Amino acid sequence: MADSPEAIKKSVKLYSFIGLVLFGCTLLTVAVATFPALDFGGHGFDYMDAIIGLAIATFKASLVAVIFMHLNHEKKAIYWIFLGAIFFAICLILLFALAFFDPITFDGLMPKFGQG
Amino acid sequence: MEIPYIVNARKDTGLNNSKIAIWLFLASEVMLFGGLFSSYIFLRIFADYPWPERVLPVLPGLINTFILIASSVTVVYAWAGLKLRKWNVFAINMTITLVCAAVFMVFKGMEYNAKFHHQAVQYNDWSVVDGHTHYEKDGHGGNFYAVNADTVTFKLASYYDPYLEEILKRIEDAKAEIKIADNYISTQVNDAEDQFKEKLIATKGEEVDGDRLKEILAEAKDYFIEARTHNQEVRTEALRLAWKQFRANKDNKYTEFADKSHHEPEVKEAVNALHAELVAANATGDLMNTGDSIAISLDGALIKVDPDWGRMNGKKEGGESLVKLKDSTTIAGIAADSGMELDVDAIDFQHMVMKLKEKVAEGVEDASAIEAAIAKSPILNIQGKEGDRIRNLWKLHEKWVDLFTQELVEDYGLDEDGNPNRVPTERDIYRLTWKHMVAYKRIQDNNLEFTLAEVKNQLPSMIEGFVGADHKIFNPKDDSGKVIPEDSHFPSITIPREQIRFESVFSPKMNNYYAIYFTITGLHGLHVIGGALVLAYYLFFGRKMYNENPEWLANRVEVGGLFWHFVDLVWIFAFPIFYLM
Repeated sequence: MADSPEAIKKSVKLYSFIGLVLFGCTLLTVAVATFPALDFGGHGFDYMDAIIGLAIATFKASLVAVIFMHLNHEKKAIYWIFLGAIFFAICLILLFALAFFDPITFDGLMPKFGQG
Repeated sequence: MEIPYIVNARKDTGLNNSKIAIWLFLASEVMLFGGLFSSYIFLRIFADYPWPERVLPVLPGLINTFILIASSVTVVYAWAGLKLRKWNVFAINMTITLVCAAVFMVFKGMEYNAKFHHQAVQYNDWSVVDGHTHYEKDGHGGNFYAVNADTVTFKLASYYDPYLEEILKRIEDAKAEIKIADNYISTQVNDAEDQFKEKLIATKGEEVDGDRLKEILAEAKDYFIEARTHNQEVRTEALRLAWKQFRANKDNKYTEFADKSHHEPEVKEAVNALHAELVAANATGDLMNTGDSIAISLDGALIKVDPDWGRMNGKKEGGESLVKLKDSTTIAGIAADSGMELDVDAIDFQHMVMKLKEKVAEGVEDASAIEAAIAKSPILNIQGKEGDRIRNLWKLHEKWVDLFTQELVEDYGLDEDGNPNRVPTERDIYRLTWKHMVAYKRIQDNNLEFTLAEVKNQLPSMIEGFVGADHKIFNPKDDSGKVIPEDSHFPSITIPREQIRFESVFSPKMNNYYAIYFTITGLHGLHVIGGALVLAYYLFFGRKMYNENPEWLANRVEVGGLFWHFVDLVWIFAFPIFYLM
């Protein structure tokens, strides 16, 4: 990473800008969830709201990771560690899908929980 | 010893060691929270109850998001200050970061506190009411099992002092007499004469006070544990001797059971008989008396205990009842009024409707059953003024649903089949929230016209709704500032205990939604505290290092800052998932 005082002064401006973008995105997330005019899909919460909400959150998280956590100019070792963690985290997040392949507790539509 | 590569990079990785270390740690953290978010998805997709969507107050969550983002910015400012060798810039920004962390935790605490004091009750027909329980003047909770107790039996091995204290306090309040229900005799082997020496620890009919009862229980408990240990030793030794004889003598009457399962009743019976026979035949010492409990008689003193302490069998007032506490203490008597007094701030038929819709889909019930079940539900059939108020509010809510349904059709039209493009959600239709209750009440009190726009106008503001319904704010007060309960906005009802299927405050016990909410936000809160402690250490103890090796401190702050950004990153996902979806 550039360590010269000039480069750091420049990046401070970038941090302020990114901070403002994050504030703006947060307001946008709340707006799409609360204002009917910005409510895509049906009325109330549905899959469109989930997609939009999570897309904004992912964008915000990427900004934090790339700019604040300096991933835009890191060494290779960090990328391997970080991407490895993301890969395994996604694997964990997708684990719930295994429930759909369980022939004992799954009856085609919903798991047969609580049905004795 | 000098620690290598704390300022300069290693040649192979191109990085200093602390940075590699924090990234490895963050990798494990990503997987930890990834697993927890996976649990959230799993619990939500497979929930067998209406998932609580958008139930948390958005404003505190939104403020907390702003606070965390701001602190992420100030922590990089602080790091840049060190890089530019400006201690003051570092100190000011780090201080702001720490203040942000503290404010975040205060908001979190307020949010949790509101949940822990908010109650939900599910009736036997699956309808739900939320509200606040009344509290008694002496500080006991307003939610309890009440029994006019005849007998309380304490199990010596497990009785729990706080339960005992509470029971004694209740007995004292009732000014009841405590009588020992039965003798408790200790038997000690007198070595000199090889005979039992008996001692009466508790005497039947003895009148005791609380302190004396505690003494008796403590003495009996000590004796009981000693006696049980002694008897176990005698039995073990006896069976060891018996086993020796058994093996020496192969031709005995019990070999016929050798091939049978020990689960079979005849084998069990035979084994028990053999056990007693062998112990008696081979005992190397005398067995001590091991009565495991002491009972007291109370002549119907009213005892109230927290429902979280145990179970109540026989909840109907006036019927026989037995409360069994978690420490195995039992309170037997006649059930008193254990009704739950609640200031109702939400009525919710979603779960009931979900159950009925399953039955309608199976063809077991007709679609009209839903309306009939709502009309029949106990919450809409409470007698008296408070019941009238609830029926009035629900009627207004039905009116609001009709108006809202019409508005959605007017605004979004119909599709090709003539069905509306947008319809109210189940939550809109079947849940009457406290905010709507307040709006409806304000409209009626001020004789306003009941329209959608007016309901919207009269809804509590964001500030009013900050941590949920505060009953004291909305209740009218008299001149002395005392709340007038007769005319409170929130109907005050008593729910008979036998009508309650489940009740809980909004804690992890409530349902899986609150379990995962508290797990993720609680763990995140601990990360905020941990990160703030590390950053505070740099701020308050970093000056010396700054003077000696400023680059080293800058590296430390960068590493601490990376953790802080990660905490922000988790919240960026937690906020929409819990507050907006």
